[in-house]
Amino acid sequence: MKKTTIILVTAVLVTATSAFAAEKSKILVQLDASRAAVDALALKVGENREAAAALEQARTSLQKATDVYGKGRQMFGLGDLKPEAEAEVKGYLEISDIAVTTAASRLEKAQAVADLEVIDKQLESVKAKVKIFDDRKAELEKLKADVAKCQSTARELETMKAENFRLSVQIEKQLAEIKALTVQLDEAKKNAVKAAVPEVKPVSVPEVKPVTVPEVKPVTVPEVKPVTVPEVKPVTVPEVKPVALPEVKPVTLPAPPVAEIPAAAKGQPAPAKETPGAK
Amino acid sequence: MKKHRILICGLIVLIYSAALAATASSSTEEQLKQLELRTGKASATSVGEYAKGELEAAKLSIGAAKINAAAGKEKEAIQKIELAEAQLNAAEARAAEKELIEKVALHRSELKKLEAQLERYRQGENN
Repeated sequence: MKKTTIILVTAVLVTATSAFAAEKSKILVQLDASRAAVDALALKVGENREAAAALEQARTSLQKATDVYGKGRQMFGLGDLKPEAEAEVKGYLEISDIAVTTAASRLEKAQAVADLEVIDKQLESVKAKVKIFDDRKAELEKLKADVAKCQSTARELETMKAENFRLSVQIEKQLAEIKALTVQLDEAKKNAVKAAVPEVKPVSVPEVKPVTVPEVKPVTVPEVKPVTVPEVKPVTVPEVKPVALPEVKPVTLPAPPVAEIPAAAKGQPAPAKETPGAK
Repeated sequence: MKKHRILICGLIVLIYSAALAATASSSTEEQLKQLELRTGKASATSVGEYAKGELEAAKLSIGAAKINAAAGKEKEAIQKIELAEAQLNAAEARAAEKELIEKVALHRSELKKLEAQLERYRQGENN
């Protein structure tokens, strides 16, 4: 019975001791891990001020954790860690880890800034090259459009030339017609003028036979007056316009007034007045 | 006579401790206010978008610091304040990093696109 009790108590004590040892080693492992992280970061920080500041904070927190761990052990630094000290150590270790993360982020950011700078330079260069091609492309498009426009204009010009030629031929034809009509008109005018002036035909005077007139007593013949022919006035033809000629109608001129010729002028004996002595 | 001296000394020590505590408390409160203000500002910027988790953790730490300060646990409150500050720093750094990495990715993508276009131009595909 005594032996069993001793074994049980020993087992309990061993278990408790190993549990405490495990806990203690856990804190120590965390401390070592944080220290290793801080040391590893210190190699990367270089001249980055922001990261260096975060690293400094990590170091400070780690130092605080180490100090608390050292002071927090019971039995003059030989026993286990006090619970409140343990919480404090964990708190400082957390702060240290966060500061390490912050420093790493700042380093990444610095790297990204450098990358961005390089990429932006490349981007600028490539953009400039692409712009040259873009400009040329745009110019080419513009020239193509101009060519198409010119071709269209040339086609229009050809059409207009053909139209112009057709119209010229038509005009020439019409001018010829006008000329012919003008000639016809002139002839018609001349004819009209000729028709207006009557031809004076010579009057045939019959031969006067000697009449044996018995003793003719002098007859008093009335004095023959000269025939007055009316003066023919020139016909005024209206000015003919070249275009739209009116149909030329034959001019019907009125018959000219024919003067009565006295019988004596015709050679006929004038009606002798009956004289009482002639019988 | 001795009793009086002891009492006076005790009183002086008490007053000094109270004054010290009050000073520390007001300093903690001031720190907490500044942290809250900073957290609020950060929430309104890209930090709220890119480092939401870190920002939330900082808010929780500020809350814990407040509780500790109210409970008179000055040491714990200060530690929580330090933690919140570190979390806030981490959030800001993380957001800046993410934002920049995103920008780098965007510019890199644009560069690749332009390089491809340039290559096509060189090969006469686009003409």
